[in-house]
Amino acid sequence: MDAEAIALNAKIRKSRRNSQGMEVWNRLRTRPTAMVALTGVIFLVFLALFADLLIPYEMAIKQVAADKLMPPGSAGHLLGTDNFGRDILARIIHGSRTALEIGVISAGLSLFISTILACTGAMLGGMVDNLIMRVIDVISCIPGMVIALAICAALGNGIWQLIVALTFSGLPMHTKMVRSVALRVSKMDFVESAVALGAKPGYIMVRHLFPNLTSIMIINGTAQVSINIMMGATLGFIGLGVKAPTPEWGTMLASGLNFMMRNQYMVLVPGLVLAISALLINTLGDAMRDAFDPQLKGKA
Amino acid sequence: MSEALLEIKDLSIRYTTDKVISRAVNSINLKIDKGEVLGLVGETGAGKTTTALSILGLLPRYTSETEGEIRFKGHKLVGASEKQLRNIRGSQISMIFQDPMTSLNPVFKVGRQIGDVLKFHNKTMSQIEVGQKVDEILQMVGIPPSRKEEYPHQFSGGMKQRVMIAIAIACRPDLLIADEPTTALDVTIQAQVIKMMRSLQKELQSSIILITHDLGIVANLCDKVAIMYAGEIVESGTLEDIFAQDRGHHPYTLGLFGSLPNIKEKRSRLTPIRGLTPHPSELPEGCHFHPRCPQCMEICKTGRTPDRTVQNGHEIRCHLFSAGGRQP
Amino acid sequence: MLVFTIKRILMVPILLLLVALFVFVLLNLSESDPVIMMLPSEYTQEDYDNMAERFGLDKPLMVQYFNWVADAAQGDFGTSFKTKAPVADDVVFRIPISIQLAFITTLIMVAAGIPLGVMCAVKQYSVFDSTVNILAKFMGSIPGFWLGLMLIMTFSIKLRMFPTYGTGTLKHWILPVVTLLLPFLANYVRQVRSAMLDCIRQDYVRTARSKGAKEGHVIYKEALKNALLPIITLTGGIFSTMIGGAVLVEKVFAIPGVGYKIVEAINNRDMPTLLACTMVLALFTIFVQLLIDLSYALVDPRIRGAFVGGKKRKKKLKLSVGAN
Repeated sequence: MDAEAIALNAKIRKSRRNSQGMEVWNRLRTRPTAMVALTGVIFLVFLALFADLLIPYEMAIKQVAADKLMPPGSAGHLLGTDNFGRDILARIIHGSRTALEIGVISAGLSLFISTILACTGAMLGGMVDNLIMRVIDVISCIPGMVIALAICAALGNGIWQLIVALTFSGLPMHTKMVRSVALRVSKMDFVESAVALGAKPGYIMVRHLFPNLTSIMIINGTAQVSINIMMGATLGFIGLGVKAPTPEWGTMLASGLNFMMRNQYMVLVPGLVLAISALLINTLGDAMRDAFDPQLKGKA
Repeated sequence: MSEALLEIKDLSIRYTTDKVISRAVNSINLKIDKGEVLGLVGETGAGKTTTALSILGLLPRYTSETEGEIRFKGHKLVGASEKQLRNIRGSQISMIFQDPMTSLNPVFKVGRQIGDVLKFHNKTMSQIEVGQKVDEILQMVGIPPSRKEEYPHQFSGGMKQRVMIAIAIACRPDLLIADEPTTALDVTIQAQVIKMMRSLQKELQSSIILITHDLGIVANLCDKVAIMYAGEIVESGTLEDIFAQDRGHHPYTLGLFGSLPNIKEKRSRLTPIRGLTPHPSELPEGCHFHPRCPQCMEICKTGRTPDRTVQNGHEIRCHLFSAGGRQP
Repeated sequence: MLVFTIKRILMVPILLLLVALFVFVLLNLSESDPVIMMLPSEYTQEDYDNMAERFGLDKPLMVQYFNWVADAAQGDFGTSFKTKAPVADDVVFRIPISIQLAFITTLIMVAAGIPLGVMCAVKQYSVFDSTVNILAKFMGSIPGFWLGLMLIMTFSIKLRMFPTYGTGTLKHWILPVVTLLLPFLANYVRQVRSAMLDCIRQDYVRTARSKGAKEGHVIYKEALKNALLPIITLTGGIFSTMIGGAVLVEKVFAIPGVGYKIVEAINNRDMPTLLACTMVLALFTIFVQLLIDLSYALVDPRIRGAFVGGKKRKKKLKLSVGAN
């Protein structure tokens, strides 16, 4: 066995003995698709965070161009203008902020509530668990989209209403998944011994359950952000969701409908941006899954 | 002069995962004759299961590389076509796997799983004949034939293992590889299974490779023994050779026997072998055992793993016994 | 087994009632007052009271709910706030259309998705697998409604191959089905592949190989039968989401189904219609879920055994198929 190979192997395995976070990062680092996706997502976040610095907000909501409906490539307007004369590039960039706000906040809330519900149910068992599962069962009878529609209809237009709607629609899936993991973990020996030592359910939840849930949370979280951005745009398309003139990719698509015949770019551009964003986030989510559990590598 | 039933020459197997190379098996040699029971002894991770899987060609295709030769009845197995291997699997060489809980298909009836082996290798058998044969086999392993319509989850651990054995002996193989057949079972069930294997072996005259880490089982069943450490066979010989207390042994063997609690002696602590088994991706240079060896010499730390030394069919891979080394 | 089936079927109306309650409560969180919406811009208190009484909106919430349930049980789903016509009449004719859309798409998805997914799993890492994977990633990220619009733009407007909206001929259905199908098919294939891979890694597959079984037997009999369980589960899950997607497709392609009506009802704050449509969709979902639960017992003998005693709470078998 040559010395070099041993040294190499030893170095690789040593880096593995670091914390799980480092392990995951190392695995992520070695896959080109993952890095591309990560860069893309970071770019997206950057756009959203610094939208104001890049292009003034006014350009996204007021008429700035001399002409309306200028095609992409026109002077001063990279992506053209819409039917109100607003610069489309500006609307896209500020729209990314809207999209990410909607997606991340609702996904985060959804995950947070689901986890608490699931863990409480798993830990306390019995009546509490049954009740929670019953409620989740009822909610899951209605397709997520319909729930979101109904809540938006009830609460009216606006970004916060949309966030509430999306939070709700994602609850069933997460709660079920987190619950099954929580059940599995709660049956493990270290939890039994904690209980035997008199630990309270709350303590066990935080100290033992949560650390085991990080991987599933991150994976599901990424997926849910993508789903929510999509649903947010869909709801915007229907006419629910954010109020005009807030730039949002879905509403942009809706207004583009009327101009489908002549000015296809109005429909093409926002849709393309949506698709690419979703693709980036989804790919990142997949890569995360691979990185967290290499045994799952190669699986969808 | 009869040829050995199975002959393994210079077999080395490497796994590659995530750019890390694990040398699971390093240049081993083994021979089994007809009707012999060979015990392959070693700790977890020594490469025993890998060796067994390589005989049947069941190693994962993309992540493993095999070098060397395995000859069964004179035919080469390494590099043989999938079709040739399929003909041999189940009919001439079969394997009993370690964990009966997961090795049986949960959605098929037990009778069918046994019948399948018969059908694969006897295409002309009729349904009725298969059924009768399955009944016979079940009786041989001590399961009432009426249970052949049941599913694996309806059997206890010990019974599941018997089903595995039934599957393995269905076609009366020449060679049976039993990978830790009793590890997953209770001690009382262990005794039953071992007893059954002994009687089956006598009846079928099969050769057996018995993989285990339990020296007690070895003493019960085996004719020959090979001790594996870190992918190498460090000592091999007949049962008497290995168990004899008045001979020289590889330090690892001594360690193994020494770590067994003695029912006659009174002791306050057990004496394990100090140190840990190395991971196959980080094998030490020179003799793989040298970091843990109480008799380690300078020569052991570097260079090739020491040559085998022969003593009347009793072979030990250790500098202590090679020409130029000390004789203990 | 029979007991289980009966119990499961009995759960259906209970679920429906709960769903109705849920939606009722939800809609009443609305700030807009449906009564006001139905009145002309100038109205008196008397007008208001009359209108409210006419639609039963003057009573407390729970009473409204029970009235609704009682009426619904007899087939009367109230009167639409918008059209002032009986809701049931309008919705009933839309049901077959929506069913057609959803079930045809699901059928194609399953018929194409399972073979594709299995093939990918079997040929893991091959060119075929990678190609399908990449395609699936792309397809799965495209917003459904945008896909619909793009298809309309290309095929209907530019190429004039298909009509842009409505139903009627086979041609009318092709674009909507394709729009609904593609994103879901993409995810389906990946998940089927994943489930298959899970099974192929199991010990019993190794046992099968060690018996000398041909690869075909190992994959398509031993592994696939075990993979059916998670595949059935995920089919049910996807169907539920697909119904939501169908709502969108109906709107984009102007297909007069239940989904289209829901969007309309929401825009009009037409509560009875919205309620009825939601119930219909919920019924679809519950029905399919029931079929799925029942088919578990058909496919997996372990579950069959657990129900001979008639237990209601079944083991929640996760996607993994290791020994339980």
